[in-house]
Amino acid sequence: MNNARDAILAQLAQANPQLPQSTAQTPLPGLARLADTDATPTDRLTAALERIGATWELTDSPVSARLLLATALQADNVTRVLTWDEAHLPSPGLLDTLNVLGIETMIPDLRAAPLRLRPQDLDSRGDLLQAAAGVEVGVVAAEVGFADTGALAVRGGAGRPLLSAFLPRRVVVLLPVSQIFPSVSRWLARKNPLRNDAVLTFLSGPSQSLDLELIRAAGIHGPRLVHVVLIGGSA
Amino acid sequence: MPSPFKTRVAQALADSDLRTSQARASSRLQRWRNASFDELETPWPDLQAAAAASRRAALDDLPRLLQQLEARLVQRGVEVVWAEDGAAAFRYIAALATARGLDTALRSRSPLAEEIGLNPALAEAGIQVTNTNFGDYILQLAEDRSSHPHFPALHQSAADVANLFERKLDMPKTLDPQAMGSMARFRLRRELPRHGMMIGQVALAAADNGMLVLVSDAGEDRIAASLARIQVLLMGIDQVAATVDEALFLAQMASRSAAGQDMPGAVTMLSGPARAGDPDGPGELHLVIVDNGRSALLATPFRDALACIGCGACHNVCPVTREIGGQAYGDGYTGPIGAVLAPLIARAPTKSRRPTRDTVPPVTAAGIPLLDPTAADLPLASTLCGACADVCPVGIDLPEMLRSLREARLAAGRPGLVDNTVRAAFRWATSNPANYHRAHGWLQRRLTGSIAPPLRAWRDGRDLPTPADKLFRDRWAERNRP
Repeated sequence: MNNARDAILAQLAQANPQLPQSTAQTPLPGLARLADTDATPTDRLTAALERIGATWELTDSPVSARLLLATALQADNVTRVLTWDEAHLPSPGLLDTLNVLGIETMIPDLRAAPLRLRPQDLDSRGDLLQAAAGVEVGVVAAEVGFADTGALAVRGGAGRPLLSAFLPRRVVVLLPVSQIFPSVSRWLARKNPLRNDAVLTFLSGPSQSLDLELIRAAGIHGPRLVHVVLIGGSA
Repeated sequence: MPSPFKTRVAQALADSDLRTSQARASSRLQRWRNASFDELETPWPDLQAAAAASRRAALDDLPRLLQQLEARLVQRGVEVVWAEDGAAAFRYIAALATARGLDTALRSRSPLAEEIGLNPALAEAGIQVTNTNFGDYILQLAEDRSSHPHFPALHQSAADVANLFERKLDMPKTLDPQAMGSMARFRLRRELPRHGMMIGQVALAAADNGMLVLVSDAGEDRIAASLARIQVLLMGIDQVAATVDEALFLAQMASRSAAGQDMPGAVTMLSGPARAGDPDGPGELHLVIVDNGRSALLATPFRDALACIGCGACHNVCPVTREIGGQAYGDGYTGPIGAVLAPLIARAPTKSRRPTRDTVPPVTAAGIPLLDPTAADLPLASTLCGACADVCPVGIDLPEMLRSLREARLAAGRPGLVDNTVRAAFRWATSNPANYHRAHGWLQRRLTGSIAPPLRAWRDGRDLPTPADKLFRDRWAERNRP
């Protein structure tokens, strides 16, 4: 395959003989909507969430977010949630509160399966996934929300299994309002989105497919319902 | 004998249900696209110019960007592999699966996998691939092929799929797409733990920080990125942007152009395999960078075609494509960009792409090979109206490329009896007004009456208006007669 690399690169170099090696980067234009000109970032985000089929509510502090979420889950007779380590949730004490209310919290971890797969490893993964897939609700946090599109940046990593966001049928995403950015490009301009994590995903509302006659079918590969809890005040 | 393309066109034109549904879908997608750009502060020409500049700068600088990307990824433990053609790509994937003791894999939406015939090739090597994209899943069950770059099963009606799911999945018949989608979710979720390997495609890679950007509507890539122990991503050598900012800008331009979505339903950015301590994510990440004729194409006047970001906007707006549908183009790329790429990009031979003696000799005017001779007729499927260039988010001059490919087809030396006859007749008819008048009358009669077989094939392959009983010039003369 190294020969292939050299051959391809040589052919590419030959195809671009007179062109400069690099060109000065021109700034990219924004993708802001005309209607959003005078709205606050929170108003723009909530409008965008509604456009993409997500629901939302605004709380005034991490404590009220915790109480609101716990009582709502209890009222819905939810008995188990897939979630993250509490250190990564912007609502301290949430998992304890859920446990006190009799709601079991599961943090899925697939590391048990070794890299080299054997049939028994697949079985153990299968058992774990089956147990996780039976859980109706996921509770995770978004690092950033983008006001122009309603997309939420969810970062995977230690203590933050992405399965908790994408396996359940319903997912609740916690987002501090201080973490609302006007657009992806404005966020990228401020910080390196990569850090040291392997994966970063943008969640844009429920998982939706238009494959059948362009009619929306939700939840084929992810949550069918996405509810965003916006947290005002400081964590 | 008509070429395979013309046969497929005739079949499509004879299917009135298909034509109605294609036209309806194209209109809706166009409407969503237009509304999506109309609502933005920045005017469309500025957005198109910026996206075009980004793609062309990347194509001009490919060797450096690819090496920069490779260095970043290797540093983070990604296995980067270069494949000169499709055969090399699937040989690598098959060997990897065999080495890990796997005989199955899941595959998300990947036009590149279709281009190189990945599923059948892996099946021959004893590895069964299940498609996870909802549209591709339907097509696999139906043993059918893709008809649209973004919505591969667009030609299938809800009734078709209801029958299919009843037959193959024992699902009680329903016309509700949501219910059928839920059935697919149930089946695919059951499949997930069985497969150690997941295959997908990079939409664009960012060279500056080595991020692989994957996009999908329903999010099959992010599920794969969470569950896969071994994730294999295919990437064309052209699918690289200089920065992550540009990659995401282009992904948004593509989703708006495809179906008017502000942002693709799911964007996943991968920088490497799972780190120590990560609870999920791939243990191994392999990136297969595929050339398959692209580096040769870059050295030709058609290099701009590689700027394509796969949105399908040209497919949706083309007046020819909306009549004949995507399947008429064959097994690979569809619409105006498909008519350019299909003859120029090497693809795996399949039953419908086997060369026939009627196909054009495989050389273009620029001296590059038409690698897929059965696709040489595809550039004829255009009115050259220019609508495709207008909506292309990266400003590819598709009409000019289609015209050049037609020229190349003729330069290859075998235009055929019909082409020569029509050309000679046109020359004669336009040589003076009297001939033009005679030809007009003759043509008017022949559009509905009997005509020699080669011209009959030309006439019957088109929807032509019924001619008036009398020529306009005759009516004009009668009206003004004193």
